[in-house]
Amino acid sequence: MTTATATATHEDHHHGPESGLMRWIKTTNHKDIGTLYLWFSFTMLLIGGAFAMAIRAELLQPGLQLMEPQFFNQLTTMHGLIMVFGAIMPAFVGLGNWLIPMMVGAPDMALPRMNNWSFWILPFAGAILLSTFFMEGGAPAFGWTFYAPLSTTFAPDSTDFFIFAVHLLGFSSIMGAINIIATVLNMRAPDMKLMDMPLFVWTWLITSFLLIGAMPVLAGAVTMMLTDRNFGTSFFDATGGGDPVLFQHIFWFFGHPEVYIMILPAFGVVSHIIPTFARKPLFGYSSMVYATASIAFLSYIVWAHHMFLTGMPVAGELYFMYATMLIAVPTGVKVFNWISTMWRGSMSFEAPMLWAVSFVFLFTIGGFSGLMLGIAPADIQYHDTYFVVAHFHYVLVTGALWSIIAAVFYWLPKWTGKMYNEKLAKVHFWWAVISVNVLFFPQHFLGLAGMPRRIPDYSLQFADFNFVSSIGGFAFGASFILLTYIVIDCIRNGAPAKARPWEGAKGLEWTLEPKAQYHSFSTPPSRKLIEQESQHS
Amino acid sequence: MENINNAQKERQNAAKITAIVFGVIAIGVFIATIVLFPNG
Repeated sequence: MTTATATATHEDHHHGPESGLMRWIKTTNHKDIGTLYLWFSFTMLLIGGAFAMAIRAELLQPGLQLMEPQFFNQLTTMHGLIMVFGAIMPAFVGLGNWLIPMMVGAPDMALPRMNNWSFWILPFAGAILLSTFFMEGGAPAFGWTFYAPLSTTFAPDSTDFFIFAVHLLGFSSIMGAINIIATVLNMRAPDMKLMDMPLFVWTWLITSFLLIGAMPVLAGAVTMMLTDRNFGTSFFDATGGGDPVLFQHIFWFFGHPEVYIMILPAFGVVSHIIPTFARKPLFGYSSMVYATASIAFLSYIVWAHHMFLTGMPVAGELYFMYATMLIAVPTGVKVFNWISTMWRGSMSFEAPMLWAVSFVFLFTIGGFSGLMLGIAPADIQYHDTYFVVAHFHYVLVTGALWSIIAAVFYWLPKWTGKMYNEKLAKVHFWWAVISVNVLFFPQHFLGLAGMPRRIPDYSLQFADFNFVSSIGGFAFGASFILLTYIVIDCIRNGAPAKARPWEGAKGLEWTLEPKAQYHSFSTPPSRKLIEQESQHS
Repeated sequence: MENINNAQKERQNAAKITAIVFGVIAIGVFIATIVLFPNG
């Protein structure tokens, strides 16, 4: 013990990172790994975005313009998979890596080597997924939900590579979730109680439990697909005694919690930014925690609202419909709390706040269209139409992605020690927020008028709204060029930032140097500091 | 990470146990998905 203490006090905590490429390959530092995750997810966002641009270009006018229908289906499939598994999920893991140890006063993640492994699996999984485009028969073309038997009996050979990629992505996510649970539960500053934890940490902890429960189910689903395709089993093949609808049950038992995996950390981000720029403590901290836990619980018991048209009994439809409606209650608590935090606050509208406020408004639109889809009799009309596409893009783009961009602007000064160009950031915000609505809002009308999703051609009556939607899509896509410039300009030429660049910001991360050093909180923060920086003080 | 004191070392050891527990849960869910669901 004495030796251990002596070693512990020897002063090497200010050593910097290795230099060159090996720094990034071998790193076990949570900040380095967070940076790797964020740049990886941004790269995947641009690739998935390029697919979206091609999709919108094809849909600009009726008739086949640029590509064969089969290739169009490959693009929609890969766009969904890349955005969900390659962009949104890794971006939140990146934010979690960067922020959670600093927020809970820990020196690093609990299992730093596993953290390195979790990240470095991802580029290989992404490369395997993308390589399917160059294989005989092309990439998977069965949609991101890969329903059997399209993904088993009728799928191209490249599907086995897709299955391997999904296994790797799931493995990475599960290891990341385990690391976050262990960090929060075991490495938290000894004087920090659970109800002292910042909301971002709470939402990520609950998300990790969702990941542990949901990702292995996805792994099970693709394993059964693999054996059905290659080893003569009939899990999903009716001719061998299996059931294709079973696939949908298993997929959505994973898929619905997955939706909340992508949105709960977003709730956490927004719960930091709104109090900061309203210069008020977060309204209803405890209710936020309980609402997050309630949403997570409910997310496990509503999966079949995605399957109202599979011919399930009316009693089943009623159960899944009412259970789905219940989710609106804790979500409503959250929206109420964010608005109450802003109520009579001394608000200012720097870029992170603009993204956060528009998140509340636009995510709520996505939430309401979700409620509409959850009404079983109405879903008969909406199912598999562009209304669904509009709904989940409002939730995932103006919800999840919005919060990620808000988080980048909010914490960029702490990551880089520099300030971004506020004027350009505001131009970018207005450009993105207008174009994204031009892109996705008309899709509600297309869906209500009956335009099916996943089609490369359409009837003439859908032409006008599709044209408007595509123009919005190109403008929204172009906005990411400006975002890239703003971030790189901040890293290279940004003005020096203060340790606490936002007047109303609270949290242990703001007590660190303007640019958080390579190692932080070698000594856990005191109770006094924790109370001072608590979100409900 | 080098400059960690004994208490933090203990916390890190506890974290390893937490990780193993949740790893086992994840493997259990995976097996249950394949074994239980298809047999109703």
